[in-house]
Amino acid sequence: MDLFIQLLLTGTALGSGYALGGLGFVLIYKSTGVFNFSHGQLTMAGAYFFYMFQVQLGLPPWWSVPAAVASMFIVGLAIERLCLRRMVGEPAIAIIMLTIGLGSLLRNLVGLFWGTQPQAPVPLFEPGSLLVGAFQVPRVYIWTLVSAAVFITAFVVYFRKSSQGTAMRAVAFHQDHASLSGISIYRVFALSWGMAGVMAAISGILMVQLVGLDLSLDARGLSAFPAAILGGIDSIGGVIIGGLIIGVAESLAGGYLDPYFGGGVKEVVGYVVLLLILMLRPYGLFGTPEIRKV
Amino acid sequence: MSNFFFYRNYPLTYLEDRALLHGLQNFWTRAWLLLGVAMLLALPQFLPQYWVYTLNLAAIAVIGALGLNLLTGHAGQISLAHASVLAIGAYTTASLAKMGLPFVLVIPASGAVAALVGCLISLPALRLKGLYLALATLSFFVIVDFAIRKAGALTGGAAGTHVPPPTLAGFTLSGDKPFYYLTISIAALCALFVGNLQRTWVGRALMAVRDSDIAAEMAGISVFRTKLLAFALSSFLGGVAGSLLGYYLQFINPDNFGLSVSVAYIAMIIVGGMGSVTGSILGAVFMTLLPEVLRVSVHALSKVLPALDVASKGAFVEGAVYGLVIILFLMFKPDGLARFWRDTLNYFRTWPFGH
Repeated sequence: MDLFIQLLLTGTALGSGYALGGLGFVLIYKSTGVFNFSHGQLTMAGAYFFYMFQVQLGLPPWWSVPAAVASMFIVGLAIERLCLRRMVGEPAIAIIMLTIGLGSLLRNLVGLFWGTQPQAPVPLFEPGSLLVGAFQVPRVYIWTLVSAAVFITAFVVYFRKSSQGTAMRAVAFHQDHASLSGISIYRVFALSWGMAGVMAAISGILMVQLVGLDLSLDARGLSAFPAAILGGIDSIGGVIIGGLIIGVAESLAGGYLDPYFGGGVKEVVGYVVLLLILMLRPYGLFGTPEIRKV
Repeated sequence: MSNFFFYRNYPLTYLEDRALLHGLQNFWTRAWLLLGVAMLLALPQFLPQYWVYTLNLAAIAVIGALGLNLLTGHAGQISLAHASVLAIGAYTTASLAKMGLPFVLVIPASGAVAALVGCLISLPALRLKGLYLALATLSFFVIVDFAIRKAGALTGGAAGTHVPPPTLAGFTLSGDKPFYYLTISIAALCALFVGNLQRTWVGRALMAVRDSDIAAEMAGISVFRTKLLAFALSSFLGGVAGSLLGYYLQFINPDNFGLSVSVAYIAMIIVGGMGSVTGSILGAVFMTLLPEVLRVSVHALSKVLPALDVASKGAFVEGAVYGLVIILFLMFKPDGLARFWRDTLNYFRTWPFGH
């Protein structure tokens, strides 16, 4: 039972990171209609930027985190301006492949700059554990959970209350109508990509605290796919719940099944869930059902 | 004079219209074609061994790209699982070749096993399209990769396994040059097959499903059967490519069939041109030669700038360039090299009276 609770806590902490990453991903899909296959690589790039500012440039955490987030905002803007803006109106298959190419480019650029060796960023949160009820819970998990919750809330409030968030929702609802009411579509697209970069950076930094930093982090970032599809690709609430479910499922599978398979189950279980969801209920738990039978 | 270089590209008789290669009735076209084939056959005699090796890889890539192009270009079904299909072909070859079967049996058998797996991959495709399909094939890729790493008894796990050289009736095929003739003849067969397929009702059905599945269903095409067929045929070709790759590399492990391989094949068909045999060939050759050219140039650069560490970073440069090439082609030349080639030919054909 102890193991179960431990795994549940690990999974929740990891899952909150996925939820945060998945949010950026859902945001792009909702407002621009682009399915961003390079999201995992964006997450990884955010984490490496953090490493660069924190260790290689030696900035204190209160500078290195905002610096990494700001750089990823600029990366997001640049991607939208240089690549995606030219692709408006192209078939979906071309845009999907463009983001696949983008992912390959980003991953290899990161590899080119930082190499294949695992890097060691300084932990942001103090080590040790806290006694919650009868369980020793590492502080890292609690802090990760709390920061993810804070950022998710902040983002949801921004999306619902601010004028820019309203503009994004309007564009998501109907591009032509939004354009007619004086919203600049391009601005919203650019902002969405920038915000997605911010989300990716934050989730990358949080994941680094939990799983360490090397070139396999993009696979972690890719776990945002199962999270987003499970929750429903166009549902903000769905992706948060989906992220938590995927995180817990990965953690439980890792804890209980790894001894039988000799490791590696953790990375696969999210995709098994994804495949099942795609076959049974492609619009996810909370998504808009899109009824199209052929 | 224009007959000498280019034949007219519009048919005048029914016989010409039915021909697989337009203009083959023209003497000069035949002569150019024969010259091309002769050059292709004579090439390994003049090239250094390393370039024959690269050409072999290019010919294998042509087969794989023909397969993926059939699926993505003709039938419009996006797949990120092409690397898994290749892996299935290669591992089947490893198992069968260890039993001492001749390669004429092993290669089609590997293709057939891969085609079966392709049908399995197509199960979600029968309901999904676009990005959902891409995600479903991505999950398949991850699951197949996991299975290969874990089924150690059959596949050698993460360490990999040895593939015996191809044999036929006591005779063993080894060395780059004999292998070149094997791969290039199989590649030519596959190109002929796909070229002919797109003129039959099956090929037309694939394109109809790509353009609009509802309209295709209305026209009496079973979308279910067509998609299944597309996946099976594409995986068969992929399996043949994997089989040849296994034979040629002689040692395979899961890292030979990573996600970057799927991306590389997608890059090939985008660069070459979707739904075109010429495109598959041009794209595969271009994308196989590009890293070699890059390697040579980066090597030259590293002599000027010693900071560029070629040995450890070559793979990253390659991957980054793959990504960049995909992006640039999609943005600026979405119809690929095949269209570029046709435009160039047309330019000279109508010169100096273009337009």
